[in-house]
Amino acid sequence: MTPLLNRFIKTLIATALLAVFSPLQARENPAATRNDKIRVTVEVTDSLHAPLPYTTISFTDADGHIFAAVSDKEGSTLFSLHEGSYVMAAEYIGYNTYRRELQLTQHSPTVYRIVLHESAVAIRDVVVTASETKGTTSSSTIDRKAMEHLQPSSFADLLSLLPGGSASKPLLGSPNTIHLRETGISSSDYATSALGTSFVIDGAPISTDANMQYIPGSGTFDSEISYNYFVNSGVDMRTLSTDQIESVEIVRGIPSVQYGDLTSGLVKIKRRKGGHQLNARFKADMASKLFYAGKGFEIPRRNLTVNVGADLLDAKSDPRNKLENFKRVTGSLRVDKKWDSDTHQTSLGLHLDYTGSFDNKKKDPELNNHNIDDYKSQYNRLNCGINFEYRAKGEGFFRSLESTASFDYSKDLIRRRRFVSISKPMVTPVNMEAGEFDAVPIEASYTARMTVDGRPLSAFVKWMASFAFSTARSRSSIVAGADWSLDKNLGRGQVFDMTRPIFSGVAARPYPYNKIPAQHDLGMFLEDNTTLTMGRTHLDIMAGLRVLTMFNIARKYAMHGDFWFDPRVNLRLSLPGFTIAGHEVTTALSGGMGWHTKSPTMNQLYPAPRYYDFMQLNYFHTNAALRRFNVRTYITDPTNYRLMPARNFKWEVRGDVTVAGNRLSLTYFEEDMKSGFRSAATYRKYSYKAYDYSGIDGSQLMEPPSLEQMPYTTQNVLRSYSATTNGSRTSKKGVEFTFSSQRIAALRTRVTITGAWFRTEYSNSEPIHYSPSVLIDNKELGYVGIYDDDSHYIREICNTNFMVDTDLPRIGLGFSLTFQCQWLTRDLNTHRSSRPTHYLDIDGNRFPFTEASEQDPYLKWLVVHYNEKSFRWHSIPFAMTTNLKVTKRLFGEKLSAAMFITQMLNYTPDYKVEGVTVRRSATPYFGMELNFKL
Amino acid sequence: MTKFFKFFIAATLLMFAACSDDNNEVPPAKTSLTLHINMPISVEQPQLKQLDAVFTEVTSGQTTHAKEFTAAGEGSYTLTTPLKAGTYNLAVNGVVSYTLNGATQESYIESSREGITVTEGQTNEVRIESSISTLSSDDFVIEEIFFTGTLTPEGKQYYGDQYVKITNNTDRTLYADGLILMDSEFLTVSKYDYTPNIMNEYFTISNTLIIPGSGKEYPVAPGESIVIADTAVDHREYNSRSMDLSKADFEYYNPRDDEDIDNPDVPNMISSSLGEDMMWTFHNRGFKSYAIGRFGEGVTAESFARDNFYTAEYKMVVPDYGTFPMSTDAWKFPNAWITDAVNLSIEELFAWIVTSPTLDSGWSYCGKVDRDQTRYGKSVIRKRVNMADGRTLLKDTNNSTVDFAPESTPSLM
Repeated sequence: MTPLLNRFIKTLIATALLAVFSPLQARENPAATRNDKIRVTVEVTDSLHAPLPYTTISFTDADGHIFAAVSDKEGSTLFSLHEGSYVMAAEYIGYNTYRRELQLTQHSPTVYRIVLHESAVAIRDVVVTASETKGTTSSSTIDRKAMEHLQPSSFADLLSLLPGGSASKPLLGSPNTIHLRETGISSSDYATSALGTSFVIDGAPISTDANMQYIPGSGTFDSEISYNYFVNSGVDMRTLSTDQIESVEIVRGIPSVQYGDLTSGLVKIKRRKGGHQLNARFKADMASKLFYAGKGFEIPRRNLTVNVGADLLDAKSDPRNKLENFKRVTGSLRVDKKWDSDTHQTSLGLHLDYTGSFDNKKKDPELNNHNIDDYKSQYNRLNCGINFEYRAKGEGFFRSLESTASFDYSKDLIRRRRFVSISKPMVTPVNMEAGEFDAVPIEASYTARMTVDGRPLSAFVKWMASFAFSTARSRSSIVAGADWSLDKNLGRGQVFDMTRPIFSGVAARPYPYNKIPAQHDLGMFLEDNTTLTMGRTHLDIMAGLRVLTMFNIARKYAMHGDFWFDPRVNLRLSLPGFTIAGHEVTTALSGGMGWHTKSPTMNQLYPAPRYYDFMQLNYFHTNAALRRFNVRTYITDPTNYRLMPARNFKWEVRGDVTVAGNRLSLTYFEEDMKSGFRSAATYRKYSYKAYDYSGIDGSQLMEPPSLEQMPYTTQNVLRSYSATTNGSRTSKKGVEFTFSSQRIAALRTRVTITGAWFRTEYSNSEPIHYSPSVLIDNKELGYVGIYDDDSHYIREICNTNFMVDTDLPRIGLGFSLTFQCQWLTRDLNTHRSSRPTHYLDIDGNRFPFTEASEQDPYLKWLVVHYNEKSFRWHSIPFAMTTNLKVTKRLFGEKLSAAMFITQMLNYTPDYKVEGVTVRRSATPYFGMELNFKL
Repeated sequence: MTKFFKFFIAATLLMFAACSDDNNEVPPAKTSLTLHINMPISVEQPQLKQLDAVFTEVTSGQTTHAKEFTAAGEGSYTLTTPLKAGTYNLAVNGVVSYTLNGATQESYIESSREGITVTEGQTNEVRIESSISTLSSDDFVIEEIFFTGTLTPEGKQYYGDQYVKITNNTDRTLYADGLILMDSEFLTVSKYDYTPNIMNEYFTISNTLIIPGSGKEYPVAPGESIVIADTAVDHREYNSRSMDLSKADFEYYNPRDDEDIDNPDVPNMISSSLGEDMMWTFHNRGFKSYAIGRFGEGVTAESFARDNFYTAEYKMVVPDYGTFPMSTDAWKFPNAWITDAVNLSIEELFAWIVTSPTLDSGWSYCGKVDRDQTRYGKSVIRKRVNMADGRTLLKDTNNSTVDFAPESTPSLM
C-alpha cells in the first residue's frame, strides 16, 4: 500500500504542475490550429430514461489524449473535437461502464445517447461511504449500497459519513437536528443553521415553520421534557426513515437557486422508483428495533412503476427503562408513469406518505407515590404530492417543464399530565384580559393536564422551465421558475385549565394556534448553467438569482412588501486530462459564493402574548370566605415587528484530483450568517397599585374587603420579556477533504479518508439588555444596563476518519473498519462586558454609564463581575474510536446478514486540566440486521 | 483486571468474616461500664448538680443515657451503667455549681471520649476530665430551624411551613425590631478556595430578612420566643401533615410572586436579596448556614447593601471533568454584628463549615444522605440546660454539633 500512496503523491505533484502548463501545451498542439472542429453532444440516461448527471464522459484519441467532461444535471455534455477516431466512454458509480469506438467526421451524428445500466455486481465500485459529487459545489452523495452497509435507524445516522462527521451511539430519546459544517453548540439561540437546512424529498421541501409543539415554562420547570422540543430548529431527523431512500445528496456548499428558504445547507432525498424486489429488513441494536418491508412493481411496457413500503422503529433511551421510548411508523405509496414519444417524454409521479413519531416519558407511579406524571408527544404527518415533468427530446431551445405540488397536514399532539401538590398556599389569576381582576386560590393538590394541539398545514407548489442553447464553444441551459409555500396551523394550541396550572409561576394562558394568520412565501428564480469548452479545458458556470417575498403579513412588520435577493455563483474548471506513468489524471478547480435566506417561523413571527400579573391586594384572612386577591394584568405582545429573515453568505474554493481512479477533493469554506434568530431580553415598565390593608379590622369584616376606599401607593417595576431578534451571528470556516482510493484488486480493498477542520464562532451581534436581580430593602433595582459584548463562543474540531473496506464477492462478504480520530477539540468563551456603556432608567430614558454611576449605591449593581480566568481556551487532546461493519450475502444476494459495532476499540486517554485529571470514555454500541431481497 | 480480581477476593472474604461474626454471637452477660468524671480543675469546690452521659454504640448507632451519679472523693464522681459489649463514643453534659469570689455560681460542664471498648462479662472502667463550657451569647439565639418542610399525604414536598424560632436567652427584655435573619452564600457541602478569604471577619450572605419596627415595637421577654414563618397560615388547610403557623409573629411575603399569599394579621419581613429570583427560601436539604444579627450603629439596609459588597472568585474542581474558574457576588456581614449562627449540613456530603469557628465550630442536620426522604417534618432544636436558679437556658457553646438536637420533632407541630 505504501508504494501505491507514494506513487499517488508523486502523481499529485505532477498533476498540479501539468495543470498549470497544460493550456500552453494545448496551444502547441498542431491539431488545435485547425478550425474544422465537430460539436458533439452526449446525453446519458439510466435504463428508466432518467438523466444521469455527473457522469464522466471521455473521448480518447489515437494519441492517447483524453477529452473528459462531467454531464450536467440534464445528463448532457458538449464536446468540440477534431475529426478522427476516438474511444468514447461513460462512467458512473454503480453502473456498468459504457465504451465504444467511433469515427468522427463532418457527417457523423452530433448527438449520442447513452443508456447506462446498473451493474448487477458492481465489484469495482461498491461505495460503502459518502462520495463527493463532481458537481460545481461541494456536496456528498450517499446511495443505497452505502446505507445498507451503514445499517441506519434514521436519517441522522447517515451524517456520520460526511467530512467532519463521526459515528457514535444513536440518541433516539430526543430530537436529532442537523449541523452541517459546524461544531454545534447546545443553545436555542444558535439553532438557525439547523432550521436553515432544507430537506427536500422528491422535489418538495419539508416545512417545519408551523411547528409550535412546546409547553410554556417547561424549560425551567420540566427540563427533561423540554429536550423533546424542536420548535425553530428544523427537521427532527429521527422521523426520516432511510429504507425508502434510493440516494441522498447533501449539499454543503452553495445550492442552486431553485432551492430556497434555507441558509446553511440542502438535503435532497430521492426515493426508490421501480424495481421488482420485495425488500424486508429487520434490525435490532442495543436500544432499538426496526422492521421494514417494501415492494416495487415495474411494468416496462407501460412505463409504470409502483412502490410501496412501510417501516416501524421502536427505540428506548435505555433498554432497562420501559417508561421512556420513541416509536416511528412510516408508510409510503409512490406511482410513476412515463409517456414516451419521439419528440418528448412526459412523466407524472404521485405519492402518499404517512409518518408518525411518538415520544413517551413517564415517571414510575410506584416511585411517585402512585401519582400520575407522564408526557406523550406525537407527530402524525400525512403528505401527498405530484410531480409532473415534460421533457423535450432533441436540440431545441425549450427543454423541459417541471412542476411539483405537495400538500402536508400534520396532527401533532402533546399531552402532559402531572400530579401537582402545592408547596405552599398559592393563588392564580384566571383572567384572559388585561386589567384589574381577582385571583383565585389554587387547590392543595390536583392532576394538571396540558394539551398542545398543533395541526400544521403546509402546501408547496413549484413550476420550473428549462431551456438550452449552444454555440460552437458553449452549451447553456437556463432554468426559470417560481415556488410558493403556505404554512398555517389549524390546531387549538395550548389548552389547559387556568385554575389548575401545570407549573407554578409561569402565568401562562391558553393560546390558540388556529388564530395565527397563514404564512405565504413566494420565491422566484432564474439560473444559467453554462459549459464553456476551451480545447480540452471545460468551464462550468452556474449563476443564478433567487428572490423571496412574503405575503399575508401585516403592514406593521418591516418584512411587509420587502424583497430579498440571493445571488449564487458556482464555477468549475475541469483541466485537461493526461496520463502520467500510464495513469489517467484529471483535475478540476471550483469555487462559488452566494447568499441564502430563510424566513422566520410562525413561532418567531407570532409568539404567544406574554402575561404579567401584579398582586395589588393580597388578603388571606383566616376565614376563607373573607379572602381577597386582586391582580393587575398586563398583556405584552412580544412580537418583534422589525424581525428580518436570516441571511447567510457562503464562499468556498475546491480542488479535485483523480489519479487512476484515486480521488482527492479538498474544500476550504467560509460562511457568515450575521442575522440568525435568537431571543433577546427587552425590559418594560409596569405600574400597579399596592393596597394598604392596615386600616381594615379583620375581625369586623362581613365580606371580602372592598377596594374602593382602600388607600394605595403606585408601584413601578421593570419586567423583561424575550423577543426574537436577528442578533445571532454564526461564522463558520473550515477545510473538508475526502480521499477515496481505487479498490486495490489484489486485496479487494478500498481506503477512504475523510476529515475536516471546523472553526465555528457563535456570537451575539447586538448589545445586551440586562437588569441584575438585586433587591434592597424590599425595593428592586429599576435600572437596565446595556452591555456591548456578550461572550463569543469559539469552537474548533479537527478529525479524520480512516475507512478500510473490503468486498469479497466470491464469498459474498463485505466488511469495513473505520478509525475515527479526533485530533483536537478546542473551545473558548471570550470576554464579556462587565461594565455597561449605557443604562436605562425605569421610564426607558437612556443615560451614559460613567465613573460617577459606578459610585451610585444602586447603579453600581449594573457592573457585573466575571472571573476573567474563565475566558480561556479549553482543549481536549487526541482520542480515537473504531467502528466495524460486516455484511454477508447469502443465497445469491437474496438474504444478507449484517452487523455493526460502533466504538468497538477506543483510545480515550485521560488528560489533565490544571492538575485535575479528566476521564473520558466511549462505550461500544452494537446491533445486527437481516435483509431480504426476494 | 488484576485489581478487580483482588478486590473480588477481598470482598468475598469480608462477607465470610461478617457472617462468622453474626454466627458466633452469644447472649450478653452482665457487662457494665464505670465512668469516673473529674470536675474541672479551674473552679473551686465544684458540686455536680446534673449529669447526662450519652453512650453511642459505634456500629449500631444505638444510644444509652445515664444520669445517676455518686460522689467519689473531692472533685470526682462516678457513674455505672450496664452496657452491651462493643465500642462506644461518649458525650457528657452536666451542670456544676462552684464558688467564685465567695458567691455560688453555676455553669455547664462537658466532656467527651471516643472509641471506648466495652468487653464482654467485665466491669469496664474509664476516667475522663471535664471542663467548663461557657454560654457565649447574651442576646437572642436561634432556638430552632425547621427548614425541611413536610410531605403532603401524596408524598410531595411542602415548604410553606418552614420557620425559624428565635429566643431571648437573657434575663432581660430584648427588642426584636431590626433583627436580621440571613443565609449563607456558600454551601457546607462544597468547599472552594474563595478568594479573597474573609471568613475570619465576615459571614458571606446572599439574603437578609429584617424584622420591621422602629426599635421598641416588638419586645421579647426573657426566655420568650418569636417565630418567623415562611407563610403564617394554618397549613393544615392545604396539607394535613403540616401545622398551624397562623400565630407566627412574622412571615415572609413576596409581593413579586403573583402566587404568594399574605396573612394580614402577621407583619411581613423586609427582604434584601442577591439571589437570581430575589426570593427567600430555606435550603430544604440543609446545605446552607443561618445566622441572626443586627446592623452596626448608623447602618441601614441600603448602606449595608452598598458598602458590604463582596465578589468571591474560586476554582470549581469537578473530579473527572476538570476545573472551572467561577465568580460569585455576595454581601459580607461582619462577624461582630452577628448574635448567633448555626451551620447545617449532612453527613454524606459535609465539606466544611461556612462561618468563622468563633461563631459556630460545629454543625447540625436533618437527614444523613443527599435528598434523604426521612428528613421531612424534622427540625434542629437547641438543647436546654437547667440553671440552679430554676431558669432553663438554651445551650450555646458556639458548637452546633453539641448545642443542637438534630432531627427533632418541630416544636410547633
